[in-house]
Amino acid sequence: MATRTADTRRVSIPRGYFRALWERRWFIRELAFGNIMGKHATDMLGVLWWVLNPLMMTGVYFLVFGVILGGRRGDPAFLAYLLVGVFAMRYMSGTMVGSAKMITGGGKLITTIAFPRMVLPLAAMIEDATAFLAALGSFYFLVAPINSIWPTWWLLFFPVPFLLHSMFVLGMGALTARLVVPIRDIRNVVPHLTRMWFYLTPILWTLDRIEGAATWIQVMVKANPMFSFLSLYRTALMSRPFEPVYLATSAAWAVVILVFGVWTFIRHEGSMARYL
Amino acid sequence: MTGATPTPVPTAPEDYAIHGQGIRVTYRPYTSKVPLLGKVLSSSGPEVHALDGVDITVPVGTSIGILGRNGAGKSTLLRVLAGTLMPDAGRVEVRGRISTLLSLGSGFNGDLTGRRNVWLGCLATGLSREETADLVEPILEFSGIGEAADRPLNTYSSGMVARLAFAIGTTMSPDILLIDEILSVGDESFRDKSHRAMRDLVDRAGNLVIASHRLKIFRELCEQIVWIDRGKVIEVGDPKTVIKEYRKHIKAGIV
Ligand SMILES: Nc1ncnc2c1ncn2[C@@H]1O[C@H](COP(=O)(O)OP(=O)(O)O)[C@@H](O)[C@H]1O
Ligand SMILES: [Mg+2]
Repeated sequence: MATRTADTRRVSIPRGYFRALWERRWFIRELAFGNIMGKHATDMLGVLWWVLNPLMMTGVYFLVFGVILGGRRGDPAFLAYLLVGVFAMRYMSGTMVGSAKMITGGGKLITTIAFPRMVLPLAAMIEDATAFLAALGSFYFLVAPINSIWPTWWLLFFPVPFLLHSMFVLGMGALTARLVVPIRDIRNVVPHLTRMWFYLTPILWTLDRIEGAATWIQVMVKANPMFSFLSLYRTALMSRPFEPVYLATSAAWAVVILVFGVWTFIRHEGSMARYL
Repeated sequence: MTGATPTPVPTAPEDYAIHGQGIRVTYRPYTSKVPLLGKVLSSSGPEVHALDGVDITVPVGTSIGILGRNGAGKSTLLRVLAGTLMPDAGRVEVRGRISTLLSLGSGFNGDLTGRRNVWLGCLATGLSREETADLVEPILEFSGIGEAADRPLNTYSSGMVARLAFAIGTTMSPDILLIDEILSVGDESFRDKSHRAMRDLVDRAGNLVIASHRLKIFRELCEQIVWIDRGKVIEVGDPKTVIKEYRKHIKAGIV
């Protein structure tokens, strides 16, 4: 017989938390893919939209920002440049919104069954990570040839930015999920926040646009964690020059946000049920 | 026999399945419709002391009833015992695997089929995929909902949801089964079946904790009753005595 002791408020992560999380791996899988796997009739269509949605979105951006506003002059492979950024950003904002939804929509589950709550942001992240990979998969077939980009050995580097970015995304998801419980309004704020983040990151525009801009603007753009991740992604997928400094900043951001996000989430998960 | 009678504390720690001491839960609901602004403008709404220092001990192999009016704190106590709500103060020790039927069927997702809800419920409780796969058919069988298993849950009647929830709770053969306000649902035959299942559970040295404001179920199933009101334990004892006392208070309009 197992003994479970629930002391007062948590100050640290309880022992056995991560083991309990591992034991829920099938639950996580079910939450992450359940919506798609459950309706077998729409199985293929669902996966297709996972890929088509971001592609169509990229198409719209390309038309407006690349062609009409002339942004494509900033990069010889602007379409590919744009697509990597749009997909990576969607991965993050999708997980942030999804984590919040898992918590507010899973209210009944949370007040009824005891399980490590990190299950919820994890499932949200895995769902969006899969969508991200599926969408990127179409990259080399559809978009890269248009820009004359072919896979190189740098492709083997892809798991590095993907892993670091995923750590960051999970941390942001946990942070959003932790805040959405006592402060429901966060749900309305998150989409604006991620949209602003998207515009401030060099995705729709290229770095040459801020040459000669004020120092604070330069600093702000380069300090942006998404900028670091995108630099690494573009190295892996588009054979852009590898700059070690972005590996360092990516790793730092990933670790700091993951540890902080998960720690603050777990610390407060015990009181979650009283707000739902 | 008034005031908080201390729950008899077993001498050896092996004797109990649940042991809680000084459990205190305070809700601080936000009254404002704009919680973020509300939080800034007024630090918090009025506090509700849902549990105010509750002690509870459930010896191994017994069934306990938690009696109290609406709003007495029964559901809150069950949530604390289930481990879904961390108390503000106090300690809870639980030995064994818990399965919850906190307000029947509340852990369900209405858009998914009954079968998928069974999967989700089992996996969330911590069963492995293999264990769950073995349990799904017996659970659906016990529930007796038939081919409705493959229809979305929001097409079910409340009785069917209750059957399914009950089937999950008992078929998992937990060490401790927590039930919140249940047995008003389901028809005669299912009620007999469910009572039998609960007695079996207790016979296997399992534990039952039932919260209700209905008295009949307590007489049929419980060996001990904990009567709580306004978050405090009023009395602990055998069903006959406590129910008599409770009735008296209700009549007198004291509680
Ligand atoms: N999520 C919540 N937020 C604020 N107050 C709550 C919440 N849940 C319960 N309460 C209050 O706590 C008290 C005890 O509730 P509850 O445990 O549900 O009682 P019971 O199950 O005995 O009817 C009630 O006064 C109720 O209004
Ligand atoms: Mg209740």
